Amino acid sequence: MTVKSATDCADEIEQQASEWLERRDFSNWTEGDAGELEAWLAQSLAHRVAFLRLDFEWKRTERLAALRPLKSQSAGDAPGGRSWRKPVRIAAAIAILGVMGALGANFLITPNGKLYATPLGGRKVLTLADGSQIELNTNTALRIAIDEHRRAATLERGEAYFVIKHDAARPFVVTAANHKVVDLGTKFLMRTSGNKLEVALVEGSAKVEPSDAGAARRAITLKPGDIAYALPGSMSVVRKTPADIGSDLGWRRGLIIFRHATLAEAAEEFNRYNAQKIVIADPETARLTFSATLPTHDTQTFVRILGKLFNTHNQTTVEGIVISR
Amino acid sequence: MVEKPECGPTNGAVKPGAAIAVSDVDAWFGREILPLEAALMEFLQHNWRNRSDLTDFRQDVYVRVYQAALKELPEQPRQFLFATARNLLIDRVRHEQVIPIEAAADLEALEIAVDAPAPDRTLMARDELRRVQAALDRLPRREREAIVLGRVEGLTRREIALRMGIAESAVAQYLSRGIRGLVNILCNEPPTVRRKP
Repeated sequence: MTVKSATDCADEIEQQASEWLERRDFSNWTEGDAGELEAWLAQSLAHRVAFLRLDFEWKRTERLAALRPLKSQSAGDAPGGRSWRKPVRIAAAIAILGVMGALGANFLITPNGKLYATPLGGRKVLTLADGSQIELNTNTALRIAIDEHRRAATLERGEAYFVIKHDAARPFVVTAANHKVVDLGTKFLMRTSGNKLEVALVEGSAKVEPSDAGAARRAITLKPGDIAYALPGSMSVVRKTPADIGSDLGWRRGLIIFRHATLAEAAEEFNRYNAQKIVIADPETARLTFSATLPTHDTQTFVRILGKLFNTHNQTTVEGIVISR
Repeated sequence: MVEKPECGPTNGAVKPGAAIAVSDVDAWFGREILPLEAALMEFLQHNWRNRSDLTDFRQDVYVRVYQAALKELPEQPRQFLFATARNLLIDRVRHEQVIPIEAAADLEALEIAVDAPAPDRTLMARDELRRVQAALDRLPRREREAIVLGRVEGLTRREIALRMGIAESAVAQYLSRGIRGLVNILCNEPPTVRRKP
């Protein structure tokens, strides 16, 4: 009986197994070779499990062949992500440029009414007299003005999910970032930051239009799955899958759902909810992508998972938790 | 003398007349056991202080599980894998001349550790390609180059050698090291990431 040191043993077998795989996949593999491999595998279960393990995982990399036709053009392409901050260049996009007129004293833009707000990391559900519900996400301010003639709200900052009871006589109108969304019986999600606005239609239908009536742009009617991205002077619409829209609503269950998000996007998303900020140290690390579902407040788990997935290091500084590779 | 698994043919060769076809056990092993590797390693790391033994330990667990599966496929692979790991840990501790204090203390907690839900379960298996790419990015440069030429461009060892301007034997080495490297990176992912639908 040959007794070798323990580490040598498993490592050595793994190396042999990898050499077999290399021969099988990259050289002229003959039946004779296959027979030799069979014999090696039959020698010991340790050989077999080591080979199985490598072969099974190595098969996953066959997907790399999918990169082949794209090779010449994919070099500079950013990976996909859920972030709406990214410019959307999709064939179906409708982009209309208009010149915004001077802002009139439009009551929809500056309605009086009651201000509802949530702090960083907060969440709040408002139930209106008509049975409509509005759920506010972290760091959000929404002003609501309702009387017998109108139902109006202004999303001043942040993100809110609207479930509106339709009333043809009193459509629910939400204004944000120079646009207004007119409910036609719907569930929809709105998110605004600076002069940007994202409207995702979950159910029913809604109309998005510039809030300035003089703008040379038409209204766009959203169908379920549509997401409108609006900037001053432009608007585009893309279609998302129900799963993607569901991801965007994860916060209602206290979750952030990342689908192919870059670390840059993920950090930004976490920072919306938490006072302790995550800082990605360098652009290379910021470009790594992953998918995960994480509690909005669990910065620690996020940092730990990054460490596991990408071997990143983290350091707590005055700026926050700095992630680097 | 500490009992260590021996290398070579004596260590559990596949015997003729096993109850279940080897190909079925292979498939079962790949489907049910390998995706649990990250969780298994975490368990072993937690309960065994000698880190240099771990790959060996893992191999031993796999051999025992595979051997058992040849007779009958365990109905609850996860439980079976961890029970096997636990028994092996206890064996090892008993056979060690000096019992590591941590290991002895933690043996009490093993049952609990086995049943504790694996962390990171919620990670999703959406972007396999991106994961593989990310793993690829972490290989040393030459290994990555060889693997990309082989796997992405579909070149043979000889063609890769021409392209890289090095000997075929060197390419073979980069490739086999690259394969090991990739697999070990991919296996470190949390378990549910790797489970295929």
